[in-house]
Amino acid sequence: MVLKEREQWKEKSVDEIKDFISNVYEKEAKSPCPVDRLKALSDSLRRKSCGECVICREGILQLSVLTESITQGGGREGDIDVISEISQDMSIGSGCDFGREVGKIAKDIIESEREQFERHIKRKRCDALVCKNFITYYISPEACTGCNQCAKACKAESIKGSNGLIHIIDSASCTKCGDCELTCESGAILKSSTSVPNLPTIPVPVGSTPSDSSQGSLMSQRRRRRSE
Amino acid sequence: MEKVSITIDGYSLEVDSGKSILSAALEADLYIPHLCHHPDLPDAGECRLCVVEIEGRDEIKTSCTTQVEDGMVIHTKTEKLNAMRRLSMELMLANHVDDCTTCPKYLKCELQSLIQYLEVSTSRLRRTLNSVPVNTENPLFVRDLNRCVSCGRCVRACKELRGVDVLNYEMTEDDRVMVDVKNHHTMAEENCRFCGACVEVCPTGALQDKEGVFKPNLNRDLELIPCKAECPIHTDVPKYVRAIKEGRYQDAIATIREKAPFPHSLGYVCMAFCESACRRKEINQSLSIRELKKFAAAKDEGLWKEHVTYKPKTGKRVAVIGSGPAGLTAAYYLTKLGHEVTVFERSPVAGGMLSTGIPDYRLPREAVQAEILEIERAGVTILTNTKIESLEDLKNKGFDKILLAVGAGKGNRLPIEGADYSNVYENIEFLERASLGNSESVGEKVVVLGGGNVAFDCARQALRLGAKDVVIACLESREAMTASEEEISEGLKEGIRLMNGRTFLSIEGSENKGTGVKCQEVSSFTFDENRKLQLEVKPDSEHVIKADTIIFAAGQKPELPKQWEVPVKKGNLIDTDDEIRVKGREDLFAAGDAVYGTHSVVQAIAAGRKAASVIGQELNGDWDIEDKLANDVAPDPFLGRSEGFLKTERHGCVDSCFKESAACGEAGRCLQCDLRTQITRPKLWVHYKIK
Repeated sequence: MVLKEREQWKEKSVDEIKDFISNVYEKEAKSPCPVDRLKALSDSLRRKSCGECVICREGILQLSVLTESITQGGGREGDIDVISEISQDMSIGSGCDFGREVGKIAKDIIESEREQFERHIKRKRCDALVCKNFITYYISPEACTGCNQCAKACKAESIKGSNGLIHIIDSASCTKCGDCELTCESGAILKSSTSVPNLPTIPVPVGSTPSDSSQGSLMSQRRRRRSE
Repeated sequence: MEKVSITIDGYSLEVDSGKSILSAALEADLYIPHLCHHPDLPDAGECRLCVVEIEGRDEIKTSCTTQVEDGMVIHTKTEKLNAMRRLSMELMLANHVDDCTTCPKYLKCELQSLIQYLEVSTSRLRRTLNSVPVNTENPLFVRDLNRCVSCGRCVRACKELRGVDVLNYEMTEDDRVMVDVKNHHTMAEENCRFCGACVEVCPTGALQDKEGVFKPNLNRDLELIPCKAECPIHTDVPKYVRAIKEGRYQDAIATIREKAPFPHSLGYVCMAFCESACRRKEINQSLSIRELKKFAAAKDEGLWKEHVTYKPKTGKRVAVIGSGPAGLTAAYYLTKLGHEVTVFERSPVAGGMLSTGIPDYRLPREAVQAEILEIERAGVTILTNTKIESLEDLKNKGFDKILLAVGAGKGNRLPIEGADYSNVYENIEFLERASLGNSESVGEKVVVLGGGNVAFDCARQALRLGAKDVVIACLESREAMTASEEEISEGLKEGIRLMNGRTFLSIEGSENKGTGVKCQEVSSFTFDENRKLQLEVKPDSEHVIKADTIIFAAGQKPELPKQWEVPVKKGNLIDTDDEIRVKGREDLFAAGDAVYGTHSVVQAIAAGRKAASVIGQELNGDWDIEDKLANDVAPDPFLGRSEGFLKTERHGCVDSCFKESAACGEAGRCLQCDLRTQITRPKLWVHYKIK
């Protein structure tokens, strides 16, 4: 087993600790989604707890596991209360400034972004389009140039289409890895956390519009299902 | 110490300054929930259960790490605090297996008791179990980290209390912090002293003793100290071993003397049940406890004598028949209880098996005689060459109680042809003759029939009396022989020949003189449901072992004159209630081999002690024979680190006795199991007045 040193926060000054934590916050928690931000922050900081006090060792771990679960759609009623309680208790009851400072940041996030947490938990939505379980990738029929680069990049082979045709993402098999988004030079790969617009159901030639297709039968507007 | 006034939950207390709020509260029988606090360990404030609010201060404080100050007004059970406590507990439980009923600590677990008190469950939180395999790599402890709540008590016990510093918080591969052996080593690699302090202070089932290391259901003092528990007289082995290690030899011998008047003899021949129970044997070999006892006895300067208590004379008289270890031990303790005791011995020397049974090459007679002299000095009268024909006569002579401690001195002769030839002996008869110097009868070729320790005593004694060719023949295979491994290997070294798997048909000879033993070879044997021997004999295996002297060593039984009319059971053993009171005979008691058959010297001493207690109780209600002879020197709980400790091999005795350095070195191998009994057992919340 690899030997890893534990941090010894008890011996450090408040300023040193504050610096360390804000540094981690800036580096690891850049996500526009506050749940994802708290997830990244707690997952990083739980590894830095010296581990001696319960509230810090288990508290940050719990925050990390909880936010991970919420971002994946496993949020439960009461989760927000638990997060608030843990951050509150950490901010006043930790054994040293490390726990207290982590508590304060977590408390800030949950208090100022409560609504976003609720949307994740109750409506399974991520307004920042970050939490993959809550979003659908689709290809804008208007923007797609039929270059086929996205299909080549898709490891899950979830993109149908060939040169000159508007490509289609099969959302059932899409793993939401985002590789297509990075590949597409024309910005045709889009995300939605609510519904997607009318899309062709089979690849049609580039330039086709919804009105071109026969009675629109090849186009459909889908609402995101709650379960996705 | 300066006193300060504080108020806790409305109770005004005057407490020593310098105390923690938690200690002040607990000592006043006011419960504050706590888990990582242990009365014998420095506090660390890690579990966050003992949080309190102090009026005029914003911060929530852990009461274990906050000192009392004059005028403090403290609240321990506010809504806010209860909620914090519950959350801390929930967090610990999220990372703790919840199959309590299968845990060895079930119903003895501090965590479980706290779950009950705080009324929490894990349902609100996500499980954060970090499943790890149960660690059983070391021979004495089981470490089940799935049950660990990282309270750190074991870490502090190992580091602060013992100074061994083997445990610490360590990072796992997943960057989680868990209590582990430092550097993820094995306990042996980190030079653990296996004192058990970590197991003792663990509030959950995370650290446990391996099953079978300790016998359950004993009181704590015996359960945790197996050598003491297994000793029939519960000699405080760790105490005298420690005294030897520290060069306090007089304390060592005094400690042994507290339980037995034959320490030197035991040092030579004790069966040392303590060594079989020694926890050190799981690491390499058990401690040489018997040799250490012999060493201490040899150093005896008699300082213990001035501490012996003699109770006032009672005017009661006790007759003891038989001067073996059981009889003399009973006589000694009865004398100390104030009774007048006379011991009757039919043989010309006192000591029973110590003087006439066990060969003198194993047990020097001077050691025994010195110890008997000490018993006589205590006031016991011993009459040798005195055979008791009638128990009635003794009663008439004014003895209030009679103790039969006649031993099992009559050897068994197999009922085969020629068994009563003049050169055929019984084991005890032969050994007694040898001991008393009547050894003209040993021929050049000697055959001993039997496979136990006594057979080896006879055979090895025969060699010393001049026999040239000595054979031990017995029914059992080499592996099944009841003699100790040590006896067998010593015997073989001296040139004794073993003939295993033999059954004896007759003793050949004429004119009242045997010339050999006619045997058959046995391929297997069993006992049927009536415990009768069933033999399978190899065909055509009949042969004769030539012999000038033949000795039966096939067990022995008590010899009880008919006219005593003592009730007996199978094996001519005296029938008793509670192994002391002779059935249906109010004034008659029995102790030792005569009651339970051939056993060890130390068992006989235990029986003698018990007999003295029972008879004392009957005579004047005083059964208390305990003596306090040794100085109490509080053992140092700080063991410190020691690199070679676990590797040090058992040091047996080289010549006749340990040299000082060897004795101290050997004593230093002791794991000091008794230190663990000094660790306070924490009280649970139910035991506090104000909960």
